Amino acid sequence: MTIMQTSTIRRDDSLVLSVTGRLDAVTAPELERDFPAAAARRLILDLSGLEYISSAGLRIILALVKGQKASGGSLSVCGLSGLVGEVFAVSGFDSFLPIYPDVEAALAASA
Amino acid sequence: VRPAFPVTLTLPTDLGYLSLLNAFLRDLALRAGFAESEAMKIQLGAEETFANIIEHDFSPGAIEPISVSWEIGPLGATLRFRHKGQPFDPELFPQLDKEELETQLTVKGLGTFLMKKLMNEVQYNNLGHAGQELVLIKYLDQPREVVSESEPSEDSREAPVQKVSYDVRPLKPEEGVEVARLAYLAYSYSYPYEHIYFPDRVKKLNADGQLRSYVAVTEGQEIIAHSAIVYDASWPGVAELGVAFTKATHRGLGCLNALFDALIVHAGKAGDHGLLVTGVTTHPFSQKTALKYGLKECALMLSKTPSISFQNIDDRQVQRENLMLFFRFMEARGRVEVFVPPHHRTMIGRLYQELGEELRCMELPEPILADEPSQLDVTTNPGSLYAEIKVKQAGRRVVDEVHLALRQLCINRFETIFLKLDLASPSTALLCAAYEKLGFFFAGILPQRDGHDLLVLQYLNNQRPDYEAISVASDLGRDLLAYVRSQDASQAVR
Repeated sequence: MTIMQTSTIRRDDSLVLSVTGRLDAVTAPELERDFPAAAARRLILDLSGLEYISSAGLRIILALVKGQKASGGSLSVCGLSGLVGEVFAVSGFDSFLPIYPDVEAALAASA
Repeated sequence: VRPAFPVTLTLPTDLGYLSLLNAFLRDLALRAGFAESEAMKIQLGAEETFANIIEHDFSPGAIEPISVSWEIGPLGATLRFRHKGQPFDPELFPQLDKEELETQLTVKGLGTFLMKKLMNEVQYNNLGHAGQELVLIKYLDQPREVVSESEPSEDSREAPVQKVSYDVRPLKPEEGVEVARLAYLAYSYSYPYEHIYFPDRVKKLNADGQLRSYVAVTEGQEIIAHSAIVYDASWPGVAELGVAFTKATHRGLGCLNALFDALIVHAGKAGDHGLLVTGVTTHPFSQKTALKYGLKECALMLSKTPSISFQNIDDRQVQRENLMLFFRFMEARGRVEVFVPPHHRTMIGRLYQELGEELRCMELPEPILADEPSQLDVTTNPGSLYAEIKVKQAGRRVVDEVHLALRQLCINRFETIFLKLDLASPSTALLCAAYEKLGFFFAGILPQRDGHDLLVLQYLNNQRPDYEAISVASDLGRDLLAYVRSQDASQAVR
């Protein structure tokens, strides 16, 4: 079973954080530990490689949103598909988070 | 291959086993014909359940088993999580509030919300002594139906509290789950009054007046202790004080005394004629409480319930529980006229004297046995494996009829059979020795509102109680124990 992996790319004043694999009750705390709030003014979460997310994963994303908001930054999400997209939709996370099809669209929107 | 039996995995309450649970379910789901995307939804529902049980139903760090079984049927898969964590009331779970999520970025009940959205059915089952069960159902190739249920609590863990002030008041209907949890914390799932583990039953019994629950509540509205009056229809007018539990973190604050005070006031206002306390004999604590409130021993009922587990009390109990009954009249009758079997006159006289009553033994009239048939009431308690035979009317063949009922109950493997005899009936004095020849022996007396006090005899079905392990709390208790033991034929051949 695929575990969670992360990578980051800095693009201008944005940090693109790519999360792949599974974001669940075991791996979500690792993401929180590795990416504390305010790592960049504009944080873009690229979830195109994410196969699975549970409430534990959503809570970590909510914590990142709060952290960005508290430091005057922003957070957007891109690359939702499959179960991950469905979970975002049914939970209502897609109603308050800026969602983009891919990284380029997210970067263009934040430029 | 679709096995016709549930495939079961037992995991420790440790999130580190989540990947094993996921692999187990993914493999079974794909074998059953679910698409990969549907298998992921099953994993998500299972993860939320597993995480909720660990987080909310067990103490932090506790390692206890959770059984996960998978069963595939024509319509889909049924996933059952069973555990012996603390009881819960699903009606009290918070709902996901999307407006609060959007405006305040706070969230409660998200896990259960997702579980219900992505599975087809979710059921909560309270299994009583067997613990808790959560059932998830996923249909095969069917449009998804969503069952709207309430959400699980995501509140914080309880923290130990030191000295606190508290109020005592009647239980509110929505607080049944708190009582169930107190019972669980004190006795795990071994408390004999099983209704207490069902929040809905606690609510209904209180509404119906069969139970009168009072609770001790802190200023922060935390329920820290419970006690209740239980009314038994077979013993009208008697308020049984009990069902008493205090959180371990709040022991020593006098909560149970305050609750008993309130319950006795309630019994007085309700017009009850007597108070009853059933004390376990594994330890003397409950017996001492009864004595403190002026109740006196009236019967020692052997092997009445399965062994009771006391959390935080090192009792090492292995035999069935022997119960000491304590009674107190709310208003003394003064003098009682009964037909006492001559060979029990001294002990029964002592019991009445301790209850504040003067005993007058009546002379036997002639004839004393009715020509009409006997009337026996036989009641059974399969959960605790005891039965009762009450002689409502004694005809000429009553001993044979009691013998027949006794044999049937023994064949049905009831551990203890109690025989209740009306002390206002001359037949009790006349036939007591004949009943004792069947193997019954003395247990005590049960005063009744209508004056038809009961003599209780008991029969142990192939048991030999360990009298040395029975704890008593008074001289009367010691004397009653010694008397009961002297009447038990199994002790003579020891």
